Amino acid sequence: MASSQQLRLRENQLFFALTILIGVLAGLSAVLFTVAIERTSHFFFGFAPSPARLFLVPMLVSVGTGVLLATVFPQARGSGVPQTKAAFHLHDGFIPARVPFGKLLTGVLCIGSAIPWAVKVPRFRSERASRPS
Amino acid sequence: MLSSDSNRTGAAGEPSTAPGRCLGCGTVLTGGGCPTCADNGLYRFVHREILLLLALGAIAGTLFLLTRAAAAANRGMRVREAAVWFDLGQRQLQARRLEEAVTSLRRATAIDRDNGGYRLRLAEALAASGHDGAARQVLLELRGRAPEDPDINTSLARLEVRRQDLTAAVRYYENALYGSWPADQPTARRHLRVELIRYLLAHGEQRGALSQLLVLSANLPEEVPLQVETAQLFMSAGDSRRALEHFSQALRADRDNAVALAGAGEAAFNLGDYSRARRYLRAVPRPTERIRELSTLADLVLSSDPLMPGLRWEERRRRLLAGLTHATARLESCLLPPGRDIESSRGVMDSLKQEAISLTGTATAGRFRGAPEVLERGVDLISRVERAADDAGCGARANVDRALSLVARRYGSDEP
Repeated sequence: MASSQQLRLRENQLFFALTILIGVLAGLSAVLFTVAIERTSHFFFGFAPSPARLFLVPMLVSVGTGVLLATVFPQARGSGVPQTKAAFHLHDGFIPARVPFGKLLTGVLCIGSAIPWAVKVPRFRSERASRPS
Repeated sequence: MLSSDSNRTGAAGEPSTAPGRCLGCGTVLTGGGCPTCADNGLYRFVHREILLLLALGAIAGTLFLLTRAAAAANRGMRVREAAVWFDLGQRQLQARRLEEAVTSLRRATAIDRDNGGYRLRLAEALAASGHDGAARQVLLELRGRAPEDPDINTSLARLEVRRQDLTAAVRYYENALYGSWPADQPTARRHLRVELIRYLLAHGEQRGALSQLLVLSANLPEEVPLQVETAQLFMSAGDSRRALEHFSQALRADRDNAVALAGAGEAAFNLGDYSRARRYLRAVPRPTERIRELSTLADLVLSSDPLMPGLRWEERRRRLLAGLTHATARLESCLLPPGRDIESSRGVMDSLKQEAISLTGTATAGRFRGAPEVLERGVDLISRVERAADDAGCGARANVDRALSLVARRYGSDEP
């Protein structure tokens, strides 16, 4: 059996490796989040959405997301920072698996349903800027 | 695990002096604790962390593969969407719905930013719709990545043509011509060179056009239309010799080609080969006014030239005398009636008239047998008489006058 000193050294190395691994997981999750948003946007709006679709989809998706946050994923509400602190101090850092899943789902739905509006405004500006005066 | 209190006391309640032992493993306690159990706890903790690390590593690996697949699928979706907008933009461009085409192509380039072909087509749409500044900006960005791309340089050249910047246009044309062309596009490259040649000729850059023509003619296929086109360009650039070569090559393949016959006739005429010119010009079916005029002139030159080889001396004398008679008659029409404002040149014309009279006497003398020096003097004199009559504004030149001047030029006598 390794000596206590060796074990403590190994413990530091493990924490270091764990930190890096968590960073990698966070990065991959961010990429997956972005990809999911684009896919969702494409699902809702396709190539050339009609004005009616542009107006109705964000509204309906927002209502549906609100219902989900109120009933199915109540702990996914909020920014996540105070909730994480509370979990760390009050529940030994335990966060139910439903919470990250709920955050992912509702975030993807909300942002994906609003992407066309987020793109249109800068596009109008860039198109106007490129036109000759 | 610490030992219990009962282990610490001996018989009759007296405190024991024996060292305590761990209840868990029986190891002697040191420093108030069991070192073995402490190490075991740490070991279990580290062991658990290793397992956690392995588990997270497996999750990270799986997530990596999943993310890569999702990103690739998303990329494919974006490429397909960009292709849809690009196809729509192409159709709108062909239908001349230019503003709509620009909008569609902008979307395609925004979605698929790495596709240079989309950006190039956007630049074309912008140029077609009059947004030359925006088109130029897009093309310059593309050229920064691919400076030798012929399509980009060609588009830039055409924009500079519209801006009437000759130097920049020629530079971009040459960059396009000497760029990296696919092996299966020799025709496109040739068309571009012809475009440059026409542009240079339109702006009076004969020398530049000629150098491009020499390159063009070096690798020219034997096809008749190409030979005729190249010959016509050589004519426009002032090189009648090379023009005649290409017209002749076209005629070897197609003897009855009217354009080649007319062009060859005119080129031979410019080179002073009037017999060859006449042969070509007479063979042109449905000749134009210009062709008829050239043909007439060629006939007159060939029938007026006293120095042509193969003539008998009587014919030479007849031609010389006819030329002198016509030239002096024109001169006399200037000198009469009096009062005409030609006093400044009257002296010269009088002198020429006397010289003509003298030479006529020599030519009509019995001993004249077509002496070359007399003929050459006669041709030179006719040339000087015609020039003096032109300088004095003695009426319009008839075809005979033009033919006599051409005869003189043939033998270098028409130089001032």
